[in-house]
Formats: sequence, structure tokens, C-alpha cells
Amino acid sequence: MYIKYVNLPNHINLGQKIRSGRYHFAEIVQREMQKASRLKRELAMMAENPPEGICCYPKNDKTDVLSANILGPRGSPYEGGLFQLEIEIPEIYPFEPPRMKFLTPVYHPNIDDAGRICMDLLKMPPKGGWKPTINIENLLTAIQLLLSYPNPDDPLMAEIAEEYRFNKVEFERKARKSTAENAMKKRKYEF
Amino acid sequence: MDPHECSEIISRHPELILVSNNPVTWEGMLSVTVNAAEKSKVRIKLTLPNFPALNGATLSFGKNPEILCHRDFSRKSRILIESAVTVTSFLKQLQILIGEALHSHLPCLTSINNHSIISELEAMTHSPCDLRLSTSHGLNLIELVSKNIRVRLQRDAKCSDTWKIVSSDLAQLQGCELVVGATMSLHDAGNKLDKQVESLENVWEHLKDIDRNCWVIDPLIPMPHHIYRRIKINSSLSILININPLQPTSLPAIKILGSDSEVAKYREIVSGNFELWDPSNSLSENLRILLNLEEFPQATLTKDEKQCDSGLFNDEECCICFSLELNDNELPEKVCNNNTCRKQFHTACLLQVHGMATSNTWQSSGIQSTAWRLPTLRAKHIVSCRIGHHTNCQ
Repeated sequence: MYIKYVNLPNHINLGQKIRSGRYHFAEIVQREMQKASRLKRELAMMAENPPEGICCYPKNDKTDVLSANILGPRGSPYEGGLFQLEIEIPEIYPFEPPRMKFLTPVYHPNIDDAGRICMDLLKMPPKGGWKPTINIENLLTAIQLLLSYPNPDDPLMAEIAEEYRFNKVEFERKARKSTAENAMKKRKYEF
Repeated sequence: MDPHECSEIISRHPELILVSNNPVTWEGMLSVTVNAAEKSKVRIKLTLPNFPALNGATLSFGKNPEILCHRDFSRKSRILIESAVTVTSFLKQLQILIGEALHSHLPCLTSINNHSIISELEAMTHSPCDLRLSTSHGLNLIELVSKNIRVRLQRDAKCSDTWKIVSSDLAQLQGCELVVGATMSLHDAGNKLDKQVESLENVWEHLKDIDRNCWVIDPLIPMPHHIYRRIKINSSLSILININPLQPTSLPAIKILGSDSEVAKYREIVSGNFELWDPSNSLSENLRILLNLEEFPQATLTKDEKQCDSGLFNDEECCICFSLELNDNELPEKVCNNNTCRKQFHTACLLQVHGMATSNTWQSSGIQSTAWRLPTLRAKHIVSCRIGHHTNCQ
């Protein structure tokens, strides 16, 4: 079996554990297999039972990077837009949350210019609310919900949050404009 | 000493050295022609007490197992010593003989003692035990099968009449002597297997009764050596029974697995009903009474209908690794205490979360943090509940 080099985050410090003989190499292989089987299962679940307005598929042969599309929720200023996301699966998934990022620009208090998403579920405890029982589908649904209901109390973009709070009409106008420019153009271009 | 003979040997075999005069001993390398293309050298030591006559000569070899293990080699070389007239002619014929042996080198056994094994096997086939025997090529591995229980033995490298068990279906059985690594004679192994199978036959009958009447979730495919059963009672409770092979109808060892509240409830029921256990009843009937059930719940899906790779999440699966079996045979055995959640977990998966929780980044606060670190069942339950608080089930 071919085993690729396992690159774990520093805090796990598996390398040191292996060197000190406390951590068996087989354990890493096992963890990799566990992760692969869970991802396979999750993708099958999403393919067979897709949540409304969400689709998710592996970007290429590796399942470490996934692509996802979220339709702008009805009734929100993002309606009609198709938002592309990139999902990066960490080595120790599901014990660490996947890293999610919007590729399509979004005008939103909790999404920054680089597409980073500020959401409780995407962070590790104790600050965040990630749990290994949450799956990618849950996260994408939560992001979809975040588009409908921004959280101005925990903003990533302070100005947009202010605008959302005190001048909602202006916020919605800008968000709609941004959606039309970025999320719809792309769509025409793609199909 | 015969100087003529000596110089003859030295000229023909320049790598043989006269190392001793009394007794005359030649030691060194003998060059050998294996086939037209290949030549080889073999280390020999030839002791000739009656030099130049050959009677009483002894021949030994260095580390050349290939020729030593050749079937007829030792016999042929002995004949050669007896029949050869001069040392030079003996050495010449020895060269040919070794060459032949190396050429027709077959994967043979060291320390050939096949006769004793064959006679041992023969004795076993005539014994009254109901055993099936099979063997690998070369008699290195013997498999004993009795009623689908198999034990594999490998011959000890040093001693031919003791055998080492390399795999055994009964290995996990408590008190069984047929464990991997044990050494014994073939005859003993056969007898032990026969006795063990005989004593288990009764147990299997009772287990079949359980399999017919209850929803057995572990083992997934019951094998003869599984003398435990995990029976599902409801979505957050199952009981694990471990049958005593000596008294199958007596009260088995019972372990109640599931969420804390259900376990506490059933523990009370079971402890109240202990005296109702009647060894003359069937095992399933006794269990039904013990658990105060009208009837056992039946499996909702047959095994074929459960597709592990399907897109639907199965209630019995661990919701950390999203699969039923972990490391081939572990099934989820922890259940979230939250009644609306009732998610199942593998103990190993929970411990992994537990390990993460104690690492630097995932520090929990206050009372919980001490609970994380307690490696007790209690701590794990707290973990399971905390994790079980899924966004959907709060």
C-alpha cells in the first residue's frame, strides 16, 4: 500500500511521538483510512440525498480538497446567485473541522474579501463549536443559513456589519449588486 | 603417511589443507561444478584415522544447508566412504555428488524426520477423534479441523515432535489451551480440540436459540468460536452476554450497554429478576424474563438490506467515523445520554476525541476539563453526551 507523507498540525506533534516510539505508525495509517472512509460515506450521502441548493464533489482524484456550490437562499439578497466554495479537509478530520472558503466574492458581514467565513462551527473548541459528529453537509447548510441570517454581533467585516445593522436597505442593495456582478456572471460564463 | 597420496591431494585440491597428522585431517574448500556455467565451493573437513585407507573416515561440512538437506545426500556420502579405494578417488566422487546435490537443489526440510511425522499423522487418522487433517507441501503446516473449528500448527524448527499453534479459532475462548503460540504434540492438539468441540456443542445449541429469537448485533456473523452475543433491546440499550461454556444454561455474565439512564433502569430490573432465572428454561426465555420483556425486538433490516456504503445514515453507526465496524470487529457501544439524540459511538473514536481534548488546542474549561482527563467510563459518558449535542438535536 502506498502511504503518503502525513503532515499533521504542530499541536499534535505526531512526528515527535513517532520518534519517541509512543505513537505507532500504524495508527496514522489507520487514521488516514478512517478519514477516507468517512469522507467517502459523506460524499455518497450528499450525492444520494442532496440538501436543497447545495452540491459538493471532490475537486480532483484526491478527496482532500472538495468543491461545493451553494445557491443563494430565497428571500435573501443573494437569491439567484451561485456561490462557489472550496473545502480543504485536514489530516485529522473529523477531529478537526474542514477549512472552508468562498471562491465567489460575497458581500456579507461574516465573510471577508478573501472568502474566509467567520462561523462558530468552523472553529475548534473551546472558542468554536466544531464537533466530530458534524459533517460537511451540516456545515454547508449552516453557511447557507448564514447567508440568510448574517450575524452582525460577531463580524469579520465591521463596516458591512454596521451597515447591516443601521442601514439594511443599503446593505441589501449592495449585496444584491455584488451577487449580480459576481455570482450570476460567473454562472452565465460557466454554463 | 603416504607422501605420494598427500601431494596428489594437494595438487588436485589446492584449497584443502592438512591441518592435523594424528588423526590425519584435511580441511578447506572443495571446488564443485554445479552445472556447465556455475561453479561453487563447499567447506569440508575430512578426518581419516587410518590414512591412506578410508575406513573409519568422517566427513563434515561447513554451513551448507542446501546439500545437507538433500534427501539422499548423507546416505550416498556414507556409501561413498565405504566404497572408495583411495582418498583422491573419494574426493573426486564427492565433488560430483555435491555438484549433483546443488544442481537438483530442492526446497527440502532441515533435519529430515518426515517419517516420524507421517507415522504421527497416521496414528491420528486412526484415532477415534472426528478430525479432518490437511497439510501444506513439505509437512510444515498441519491444519486440524473439527466441526468447522480449525487449528493450524507449525512444526517447531528445532524439535520435530512439538508443534506450535499459529492460528486457532478457539484462541479467544477463555480457559482454552489451544491458543496461538502454545506448543504441544500433534496428538495432544487433536485430543484437546476434540474435547473442546465436544464440550462446546451444547453451548452452540443454546446460542442458536438466542440467534433465532433475539436481535443479535454483535458478532455480525456468528462463528463457532463466538460464545458471546450482544442483543439489541432498544435504540439506546443492548446487553452483552458471555456464556459460561461449562454451564450454558446457568446465568451468563451480563453487561448492560447503552445510555446512562437506560442502563440504570435495566440494571435495576435485572437485579430484581435474578432469582427468576431457571436453568431448565431456554436461554432466550430466561433472558426475556430477566429483562422483563414481552418479547424481544426483531431486527428491522436484514443484513443484506443494510448497505454500508449507502447514502443513508444508519442509526447503528458511529457518528464520528460514520461506519459500523472499526478495526474490523469493533462495533459502537457507547450511546449518548441525551434521549433525543441517542447517537452511537465507538469507544475508540470517543477516546480519540478525548485525546484531542487534552491536547493543547482543545482545552475545555472548568469542571469539564477534569472530566475529560478521567479515563473512566464515567468520563467517556460525559464526552459522549457533549459530543452528542448535535446542532439538530438540541
